[in-house]
Order: sequence, then C-alpha cells, then structure tokens
Amino acid sequence: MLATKISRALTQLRVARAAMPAHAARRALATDAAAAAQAAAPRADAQPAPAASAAGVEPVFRARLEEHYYNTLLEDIMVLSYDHTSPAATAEALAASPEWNRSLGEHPLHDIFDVTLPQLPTLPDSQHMATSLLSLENGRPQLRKRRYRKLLYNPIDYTAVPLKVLLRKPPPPPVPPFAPVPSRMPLLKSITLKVWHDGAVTNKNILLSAIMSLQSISGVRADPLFAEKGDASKRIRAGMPLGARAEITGPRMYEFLDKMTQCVMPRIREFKGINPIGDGNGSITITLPDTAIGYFPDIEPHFDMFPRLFDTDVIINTTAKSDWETVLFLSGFQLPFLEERVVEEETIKESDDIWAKVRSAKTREERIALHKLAQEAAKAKK
Amino acid sequence: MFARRLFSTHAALRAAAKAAPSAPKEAGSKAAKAAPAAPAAAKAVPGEHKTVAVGVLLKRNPVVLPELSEFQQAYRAYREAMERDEARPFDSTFYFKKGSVAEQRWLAAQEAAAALGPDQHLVQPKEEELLKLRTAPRITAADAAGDVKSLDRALARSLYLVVQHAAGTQGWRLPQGPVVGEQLLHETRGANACMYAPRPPNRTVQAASERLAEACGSAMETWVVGKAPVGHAKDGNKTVFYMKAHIFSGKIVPSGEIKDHAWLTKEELASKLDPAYYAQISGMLSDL
Repeated sequence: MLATKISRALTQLRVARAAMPAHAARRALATDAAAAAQAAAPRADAQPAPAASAAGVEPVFRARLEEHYYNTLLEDIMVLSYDHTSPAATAEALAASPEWNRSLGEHPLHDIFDVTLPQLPTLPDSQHMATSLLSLENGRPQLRKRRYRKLLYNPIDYTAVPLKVLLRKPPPPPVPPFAPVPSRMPLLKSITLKVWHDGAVTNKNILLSAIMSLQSISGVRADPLFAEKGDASKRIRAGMPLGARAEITGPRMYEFLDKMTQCVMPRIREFKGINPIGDGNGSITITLPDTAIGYFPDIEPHFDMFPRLFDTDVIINTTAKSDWETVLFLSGFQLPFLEERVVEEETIKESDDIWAKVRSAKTREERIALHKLAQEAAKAKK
Repeated sequence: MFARRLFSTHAALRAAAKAAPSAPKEAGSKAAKAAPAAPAAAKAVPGEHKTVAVGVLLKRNPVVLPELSEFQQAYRAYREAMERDEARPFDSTFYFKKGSVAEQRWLAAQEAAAALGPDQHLVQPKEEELLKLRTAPRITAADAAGDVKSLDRALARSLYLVVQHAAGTQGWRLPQGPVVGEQLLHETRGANACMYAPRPPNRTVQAASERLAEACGSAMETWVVGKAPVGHAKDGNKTVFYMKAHIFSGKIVPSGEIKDHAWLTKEELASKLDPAYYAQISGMLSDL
C-alpha cells in the first residue's frame, strides 16, 4: 500500500536525518524530495489519491482555521473588499501580472518546485511552515533588516543633527491599490503574546509564572523582556527583566486564535467586544485580563500550578493594509468587534500641585484667583 | 477562477448600467455614479427592471474538514514526528503536584502507552465523560439516502441551492428574480463591515434577500456577502447578476414560486444543470 511505503520511507529518512548534521540533512532532503516527486508522478489514468482514513492511521493535528481561511474566507474577503475602480483591478493590469496568469501544473508538486528553496515554506527549518500550498501565493521573500548607523552629525560641516531629524521615522509606504488576487488579500503573519509587570522589580520569581503561562498557552519558548529605560520613582533600572514575550506563527497561531475565540473570550466578564482600532498597518492589540488567561484549556486544569497570572497583550500581525481590512479579516475568525470605534478622549490629568495650576493658568484673572486659593491652602496647612 | 468571474461580472454590470439610462441604482454607489444621469421624467415607475435581474448563489459551507490524502497524511505525520523528536522534553513535574491523583493517572497512562510498543509519544489520559463521548459520523443518513433536499449531506463539501421555478420552462437554475423599483442588489450595512455579524433589526432588505425570501420562505438564517455580485448569466434579454449568500441554519419553505429545490455539490450541478447555463455559472462555484 502506498501509505505504508511512504511511512516506512519517511521513518528511515527521519532516522537518517537525526544522525546527520544540519546542513547535510537539508541537502539530503532536497534530493530526496526530487526523487519522491518522480516516484509519485501520476500516470495519465491515475485515480484520485485514496483517503488516509481508509488505512486507519493516527489522526494528525490540523489547524481548522487555517483550512477555513483558504477554503471559505479568502473568497468572501475578496468579495467584501472588491473595488472595481482600483487601477490594479483593470483587465490590462491583471493580464500583466504573473499571479493572474498562473497556470496550474499537472501535478501539485510542480507548485513546490516553482519556488526557490529558501522561500519554501515546507522546508524543515523554515520559519513559515504552511500546510496549504496556496500559502505560496503569499510567500514573500523576507527582507533582512539592514542596520544603518544613525547620522549623528552632518558630515560636511560637522554640525549636530537636530533630535527631531535624528528620531524621524521613514514615511509608511503607500497602501497598494486593491487587486482581486490572493497575494493582496490579508493573511495572518504572527501573534505576539506579551506580559509586562512593573511589580517584578521587587520579586523576580513572579516572572517565572508569566513565562510558564505564555509557554503553556502558546506552545513555544517564551523569552524575558528587559526594561529599556530606568524609572527611579518605580525603582526600575535599565536592563531589568520585567516582562516576557512569545511569538507564534503557522498552525500554532491559528490554534491559539481558535482557543481564544472559543474558550476564553466567551467567558470574560463584562466584555462587550474588541475596539476596532489597530496601528493602521495590519496589527491589532487585544489585552486579555489575568482572569481570562486562566480560562485557556492549557492552564485551567492546572490552575494551581501558576502562582500568578498577568494581563497579557495579544498582538495580532496581519498583512492587511488598513484598520478596516484588519477588522474585516479577523471578524471572519469570529473575533467579536464593537460596532463603533471607541476613541479615548485626552483628559488633562488633575494634579494635586496647586502651584502647578497657578503657573499653567491661561488668563490673568484666573491666575490671581488660583494664587489666592494656593496661599490660603498653604496657611491652612501650617 | 473566482476572481476572473468577479472581474467579468463587474464589466457586465458597467455595460448593463450604460445600456439602461433610466436604470435604478445597481450594486455599489460608484457604479451608479458611472451610469449616465437619469432625467426625473424618464425614471421608471415601480416595476421590474428591463435588463437587470438578481440571482442568489446560496451556499452552505463545509461542516467538517476534508479528508487528507495518503500523501498529505504521511507528510504531516512525518513533520509531527520530527517536531516531537526535536522538541524540549515535557516537564510533567510542573503540571502535577507530587503524589497527587492526577499525577498517578498521568503516569499510568504513559506506562500503558509504552507497553503497546516503542516510539510512543505522550498520551493524554481521557476523563470518563470524554471516553463516553461519541462523535457524529462524517457520512450521515442523508448521504446514505441521497436526500438532495437535506443540508446534512456531503458535510466536507459546499452545497449550492438550485431550484425549478414554477413560471417558465427553464429547468434547474440558481434562484433568481426581478429587480423591483429602486432596489439595490445588496443589503445595506453599518460602517464597520464585520463578517457574519448579526443584522440590526431594521435592516434594509434589498433585491437579493427579498427574492430569496419570496421563493424559499423566511425560515433560513442567511447572510449576503458584500455589495458586489460574484457572477452573471444571460436570461433572454436580461442579465442576471448573482449575489453570494451563506446559509447558517434553517430550512426552505417552498412557496408557489418554485416547483422543486435541491442542495447540490459542484459536480452534481455539472450533471444536473443545462451545460450552457453551467458554463456561465461554474466560475462562481467553490471546488471544495
């Protein structure tokens, strides 16, 4: 049977790979993949591949949200965001793009071999492990971040560069126009879980609980986060470990989203919905209260083993180009959003210092009145 | 395929808008702006639109994940086995208190699994209530009986609604009807368009949902996807623009307008529908 032949071959491969050093294993995998493709190439009269359950094999993990995205959501998002006035949606623009003219190969493995090895999401050491070949449409080469030294002084006349210019961020790239192709549709990139607690200044051990909770709910190793700047009033020194973070991608990410929407969010007390405001560039942050973390199925059965749970920031990164697109896309995974955006009004904090109020008075009359009040308060204090 | 159909439908929509100067608003306010301005005198009296009709592609999404092929299964099993080999060892002492009942159950389950053979991975001891749980079968009674009126058939596939209209001798088609008065094709929505969101009680019901309710009753929970039609087909001198809709629950209560209805997969539609008609609508249909 094909199933047993493949499993036996792959078991041997696994054993051999375990014995090999990493780079040799990668080369071996590439040649073996080519050989497997030749062996698996279908004949003209080939029947459709027999179902795996027929052989009675053990079930493998499947991220149902990932499959739902490719099977159902992608089409709906395209219809909902369709903009016929977009210049990239004209017949000429589409005919010129290779994605529109992509021809399906005779064999599904032809898709894999059209992609260069470093971009291959199925590579064992790849960051982006995909279980659907459609994700190759969205596979973009990850540009390595180039490190440029900041220009601290003007090279010609050695004058100082103003702080505003030094700290200026480059303008965000313009939003690409709508095109009805999968690569323009939003896709989940990663989810970052973050915990930050200033109280860890006095007790470092509570961070261990934070790290364990992040590892339990994410399934990956969590790393500590360190303070960038010191704050003497809170007794924080730069470099102190005060938080933890974990980043998840691929099927784990979809599974986390599933757990959050099905198990955790329905049980949060007095929860009306997520505020549909992100960073405008495809990321949105949801803060789960510490009580909500206890509802995760990875934590709830062993609740007592976690001495302390913390408010966790769930930062969902997508390839959406605006807040509207992000909200539309994530609502397809049953994330509940509020109907209206809730924008916090800037309230001027009332400080206790009466003399500060005197100094910041707008009119002369106001200043005189406040000054009188301040003097009376000082006399009463004596 | 789907994107190409969407694109050509919009070209057809623009053509239809230009052909009918006294047309009521088509889908999308921008398309309406593109249409030549209609003088007030030439506005049609409330009645059927002459060149534009609306149809509904009512889809029941797959209920269960599709079966994996042997190759896919073997590949995923291979990746999982690799991950297990290279993962950090599981620290059971963190999760269980020493000497507790839970720890004893856990260790007993691991020993039982180890007795089965070498190379066994971690086993989760199932609670009694979970052991009694029986999952529903993937092949339902409706599958065995071949009941095409049932929504419980072909759970791993998408099902589309086709009807036989009582009026006319056209045979099996997707549900369609005229655009009446000043109706739009789509439903209006609030500012934040969320997918599958519950509709406000006083939503504006427009052509697609109205025609569907008239033909198939109001015992269905449906959601029309957006403002853009997803396909078009010629019907005499009219062009039928199809709006995509999902059915989440409910059933069809056939009115006098339809003789018969069926929920079919893409392959079954290919054999049931007229080949010329199927060729026009096949691009809208999902493979799964």
